[in-house]
Amino acid sequence: MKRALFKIMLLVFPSFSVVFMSCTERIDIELDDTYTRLVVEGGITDQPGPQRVVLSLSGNYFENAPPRWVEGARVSISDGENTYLLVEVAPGIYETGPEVIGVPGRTYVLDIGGVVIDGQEQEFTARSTMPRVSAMDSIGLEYREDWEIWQVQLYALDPPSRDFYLFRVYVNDILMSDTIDEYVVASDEFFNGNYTYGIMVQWLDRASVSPGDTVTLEMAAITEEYANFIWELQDQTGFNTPLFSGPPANISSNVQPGAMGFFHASSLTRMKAVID
Amino acid sequence: MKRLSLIGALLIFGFFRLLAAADGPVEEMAGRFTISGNIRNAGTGEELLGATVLVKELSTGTSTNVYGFYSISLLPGRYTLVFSYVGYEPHTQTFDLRTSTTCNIELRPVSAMLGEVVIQGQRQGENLAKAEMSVVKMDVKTIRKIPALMGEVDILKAIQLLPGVQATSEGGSGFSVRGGNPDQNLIILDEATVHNASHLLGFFSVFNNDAIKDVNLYKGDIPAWAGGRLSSLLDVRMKDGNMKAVSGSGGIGTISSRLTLEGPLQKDVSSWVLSGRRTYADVFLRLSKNEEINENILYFYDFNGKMNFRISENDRLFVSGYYGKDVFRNPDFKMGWGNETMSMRWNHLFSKRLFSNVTVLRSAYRYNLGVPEGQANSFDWAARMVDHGIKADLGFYPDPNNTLRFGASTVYHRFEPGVARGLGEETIFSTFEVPHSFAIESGLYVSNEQKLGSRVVLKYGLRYSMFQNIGSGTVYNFDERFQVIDSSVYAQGRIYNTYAGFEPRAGMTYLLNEQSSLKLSYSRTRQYVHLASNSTGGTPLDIWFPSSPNVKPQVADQFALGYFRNLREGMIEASAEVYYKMVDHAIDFRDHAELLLNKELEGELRFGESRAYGLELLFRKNTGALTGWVGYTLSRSDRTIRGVNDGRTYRSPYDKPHDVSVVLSYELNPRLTFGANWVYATGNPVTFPTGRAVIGNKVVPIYSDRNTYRMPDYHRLDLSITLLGKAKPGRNFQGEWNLSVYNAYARKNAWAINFVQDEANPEITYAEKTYLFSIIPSLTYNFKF
Repeated sequence: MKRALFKIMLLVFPSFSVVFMSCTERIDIELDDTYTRLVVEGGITDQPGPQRVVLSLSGNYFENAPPRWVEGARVSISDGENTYLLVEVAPGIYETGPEVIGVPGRTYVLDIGGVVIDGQEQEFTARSTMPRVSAMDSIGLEYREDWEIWQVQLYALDPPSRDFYLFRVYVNDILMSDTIDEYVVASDEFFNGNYTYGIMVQWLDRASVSPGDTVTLEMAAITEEYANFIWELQDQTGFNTPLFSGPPANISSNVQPGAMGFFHASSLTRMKAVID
Repeated sequence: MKRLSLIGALLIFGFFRLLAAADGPVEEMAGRFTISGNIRNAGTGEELLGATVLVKELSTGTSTNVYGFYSISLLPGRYTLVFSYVGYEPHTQTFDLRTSTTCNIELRPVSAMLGEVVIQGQRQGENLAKAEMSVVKMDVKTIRKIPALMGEVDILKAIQLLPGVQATSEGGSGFSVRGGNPDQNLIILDEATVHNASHLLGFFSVFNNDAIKDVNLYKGDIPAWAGGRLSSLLDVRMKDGNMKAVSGSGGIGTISSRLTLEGPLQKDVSSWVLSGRRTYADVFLRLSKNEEINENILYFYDFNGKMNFRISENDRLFVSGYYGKDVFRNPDFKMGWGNETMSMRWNHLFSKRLFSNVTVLRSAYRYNLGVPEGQANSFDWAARMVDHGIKADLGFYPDPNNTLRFGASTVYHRFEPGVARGLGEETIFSTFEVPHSFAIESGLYVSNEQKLGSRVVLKYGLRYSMFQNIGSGTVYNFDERFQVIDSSVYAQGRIYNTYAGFEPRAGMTYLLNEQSSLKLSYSRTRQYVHLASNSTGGTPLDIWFPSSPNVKPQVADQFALGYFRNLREGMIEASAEVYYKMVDHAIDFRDHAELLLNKELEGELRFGESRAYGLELLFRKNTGALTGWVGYTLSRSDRTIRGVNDGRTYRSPYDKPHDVSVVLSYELNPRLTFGANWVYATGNPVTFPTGRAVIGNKVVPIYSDRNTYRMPDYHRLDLSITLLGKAKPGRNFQGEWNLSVYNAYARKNAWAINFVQDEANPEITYAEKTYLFSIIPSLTYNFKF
């Protein structure tokens, strides 16, 4: 929430630049090349499978091409008792069957083998312990005239534990928060054990919904490491200025050794409301 | 500890010895008599700082201290003394010295016509012979001639035009001295520390030029009386107030207006000055049809006030204060921040040779922000830092060859790093408070400036500083990976951690001949209080934190060597200085550091070494129709911090190898003056991405090593024309129009460079620069009466 507080400010501060007449312009910059890293995106939830892991390779910054998918890798997830093998269903996309369902409290280990980078075969591993999500009481939808958005509001009681939340929103079962910078991540550091009183946790552009649409709010309990990962990613892909940004830095990863991306275990709950 | 108390005892003993020696019957020490007094402006009664007193017969002399006091002790005889100050007609007086004499001198400002002739003869050579180096004095008149952003004349912007000093970001008032961090500058206003010297996110400084009398910047050779910061001392003195008659000055500008009034309470005995300033951008914004703009309210205001009393021949009292505030608000958010300083000073002459000043001071910086009550996310967040201190400084003038200074100071720091609380019944937020902390920072010093023969001047001093963390306090204990293990809580009043150390300062001047001199200096400085900020621009949310069991004081050693030469009979002062500076226990922050509202802030710090070195050239012309300076700096600075950039050395954010500034003013006739400045600097070091990974449908950057790239080079030209109103006999009022053009050739200097994902085609990324100012003209009307 600390970062969320900060974001409130960032929303507000662009108005300073109005005062000082800032402008932007594309420029050409020569950048060096860098070596290739494995990029992992995936996780396991407490919802019915398939559970999915996507593998790709990093490129040079101005490559401006789709990612290279990692095909033919050996991917498995284990919870200490069972090991589930993931099957490559499309280039770089590895899935379990629908019967694999995560259980809060368990620690999941991702093992990746047979990845060839620059001619060398490498292995990677990651682990994540699934936190337990608390219940929502209800959700609200309220149109906000000046921002031209629908606010998705949450009514829930935060449990006394240290919690990290991830909020995403669907319209008619289609995920609207489909890029990671649209995820809303909050820690309860500043409201531990409190009631949420309909605080805005997601939003929808006016144009993206119409009366009668069903809006689904998804609240996930995530680990602190995953929350940090998303915050760092949002910082590093957001607008930076000499005023409020620290020096750029690589985002963290729980995939060892030296990979990018994250393998996360999370439990989630959903609630629906209809736009009127 | 034993050793420390011994030294303390020696210092105190020495102190009393001196007091005794300077008192009463010992007046005629070594058969000498003293001429002492104050040198003042005849027009206003203001004391003149750094005015010179020359004894013609002996070719020696002295100068006034920051309170305008001078004292010179000579063997009995007949002497001719010349009192002079730049821009004033010198005064010559003959003394038949048989007894100690008090002689207050009033100097008359030269009229514009006479200017050139007068200044030359007197001032020549002074810069060569002075024991100090790496010091720049700027008078308010010089600063006023410099073209300014939106016509807002600003001492911090003027300082950034000197070699060795850089702006930390476009248009900002933050500055870096010789590669140091902005938080390594000690900025004092009438002795009270100013913690955050900027208004409006740094685009303006807190100093209202109309209220300022004198500005001195020490870039390295920091005098022993000052301490607590590594890189520089910016000593700003407020006007004392006109002792003769009520007068005023002010200006109406594009973005702000200001008014200063001053006058005597009792003629030649006491005076007051009051100065205020407010911006009115918010008034224009409200007129805008765009709702997003007209709902935003943004302004700042500040006040300077001062009174001074000549209580008796030997006593003088000054009370001065500053209060400033910035306000930003719209229906969803509000924010405010500001400084306040207050100092009370008492000058006392124990004897004609022993001058003393005692200062009681308070300074505070605070900010608050929040969402107004009535929403689920309503909150208020406030942070503050307050200093209370007392200082005593004494100056002893035993003979023309020695000037002794000694004194002591102690400051009580109170840190309130932040408390955030929910507002109203239905708010999600609880109260979250980062514990307060407290510390005492003390210093003792003694220094002497000694002339050896006619060629050598020595300056040597020793400062002993001590920093104590005092309860109540909470200290988190960290493991090697900066994870909290546990915490220790200390009771109120308990001193739970002490750092102390010596800070030697030394310098030597060797006059090679009439036209040139060589200077050397060494100084050690220790910094106990640091700024929790890793932005280069500086923000209102800057909060300071103390050294503690986890945070050692930063210690800097600086060596400098300079060659000073006067060309064309003193018309042009030229200097070349080289310096090398090393900092131990330098502080930087971990990647993705969380510096705000963080109880475990110390876990975000990383420690190591930093160094800076460079060459500074300055050519300055003070007389004639064309005045100004050309400065060039060649410098480097880097850091090696464990836990940052994998421990590899990286460029500091203030590493700018080349820096040029040209500041010129041309007086076409007494009414019309043209001003121009041009700056050029290598682009700031930055970190750019070299690789990309696609995660969550976003292109995520993979970065180069820290600061391996550079922003494009920065350059800019500013111009100004000042037209003085016709002077009318019998009327004091004088007006002046100033037209300034900032960034005259509209260079689009990059303020920030972002790497952006194309919205239409997410696979494409490109670099985009943000620039703040295109060409900005502004018109200001200034007046005085």
